[in-house]
Amino acid sequence: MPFEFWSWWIAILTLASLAGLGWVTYSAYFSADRRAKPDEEGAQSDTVWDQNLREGSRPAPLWWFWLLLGLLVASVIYLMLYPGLGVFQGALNWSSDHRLSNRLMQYDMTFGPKREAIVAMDYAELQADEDYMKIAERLFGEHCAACHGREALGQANRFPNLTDSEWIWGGTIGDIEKTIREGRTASMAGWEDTLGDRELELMTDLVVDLNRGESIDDLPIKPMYDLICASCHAADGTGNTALGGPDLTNDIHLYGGDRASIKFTIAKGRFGEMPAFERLLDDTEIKLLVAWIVKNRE
Amino acid sequence: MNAIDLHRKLEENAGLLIFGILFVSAIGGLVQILPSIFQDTVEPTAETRPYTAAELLGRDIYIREGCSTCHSQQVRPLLAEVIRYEAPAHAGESVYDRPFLWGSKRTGPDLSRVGEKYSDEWQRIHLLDPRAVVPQSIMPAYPWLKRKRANSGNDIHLRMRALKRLGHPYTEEEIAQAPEDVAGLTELDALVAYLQSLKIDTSVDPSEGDH
Repeated sequence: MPFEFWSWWIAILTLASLAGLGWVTYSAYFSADRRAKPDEEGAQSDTVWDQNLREGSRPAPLWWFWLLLGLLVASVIYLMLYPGLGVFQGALNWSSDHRLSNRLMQYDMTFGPKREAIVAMDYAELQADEDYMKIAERLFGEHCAACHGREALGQANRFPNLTDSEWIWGGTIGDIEKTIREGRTASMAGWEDTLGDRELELMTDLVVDLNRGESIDDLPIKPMYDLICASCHAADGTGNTALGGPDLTNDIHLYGGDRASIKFTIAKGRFGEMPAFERLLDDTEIKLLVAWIVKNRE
Repeated sequence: MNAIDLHRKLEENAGLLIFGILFVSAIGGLVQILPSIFQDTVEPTAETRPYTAAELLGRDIYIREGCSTCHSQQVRPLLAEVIRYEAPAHAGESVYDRPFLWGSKRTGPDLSRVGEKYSDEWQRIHLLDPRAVVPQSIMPAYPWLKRKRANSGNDIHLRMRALKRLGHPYTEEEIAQAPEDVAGLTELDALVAYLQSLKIDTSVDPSEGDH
């Protein structure tokens, strides 16, 4: 059935219900029966309790009537002002969409200039402002802390510490901003099939040596390192931020730094993912976050 | 005829009374529910698609574990929620939700836009032990999810067929392929697949449409 039919259906049923309720209310209070005295004749075939108590002999208080009437009138006024009767939009032309877009407009008017000012500000200036840094810290708590932890110290042997010196994808302001905007996907292959048991052990030793800052040039497994590892981790093990190959020459480990964890990483590979936040955060928020992260690590 | 007489008549006639009660209690439904049954006014939004087999299994696990007792999936058209979760919920986003999981208890965050906010790995860690990544979280841990195969009832194709009967546009090939698609998945994998599918429809103007 057509749209208009249902619109009228809703409107008529609603109004008829209101009218029906009005009639019941009025009639129950002001029909003859209600006013009949207990000792009068007429419609007196009722059951009588306690000698003179019968239906309608003790009317409900009159203020109930006025209350019900008031509510009915309020309903009618509401239906005239707001949408409710089918397609009728109501005299105020109210809708939740309008309300939302008005609020968003007000929000933009109040905060828009300030937000734009933040985008134009120097990082140093932003970092010096305590209020902005507080806002940024809250943003970090909302969007970043679930992985990197409240204090940005990293956690769960998966999510990098943002306060140390190692930046797998680069630690400049530009790098950090790119990481937040576009996300990062790090993928290290597992090498257990290529290496075999013996070479896996040797390679693990090599990485442990690298971590300690010892020279690896004379190790017999070094040519294999050059072949399969150096393209991401560099020949000297210092890593490659363009490819997200971590620096192996320090004692900072994302997936655990004990020998067993290192061996597991070489054998099975690792997969790390930072989601892109470009859609979720605007320029102002990203700027604040970058400023806070850089300041926080110092 | 007045209300007292009518009342007396109804009271003395059980059949009439039953009919009267049914009629009066039906009015709300006649106004609110009946018109929407006869009208297909809700069209899927441009990016809304039926759930894949894995997502569908995950969704059923989401229902089984009672996630919607703490998590809503409906961003209300209120300023604070729109700023926090992007666009408000749109009716067209829920056309393939049977039943819909809008929820009303908002103990945890709304999840209707949670897809792709976190990596799969984070979701896995968080479901198995929420405190491992969010120390102040009060969410229960769900360690058993990784122990069981998602399609352990071997009925994913039947679930899809049932939904097809209700109008979800699954093809016969998709249904036939489904058991194979989800063969190796644990319940954890399926639930993560479902959570990652809960995304905003970027084709919808946030300030328009029926919310």
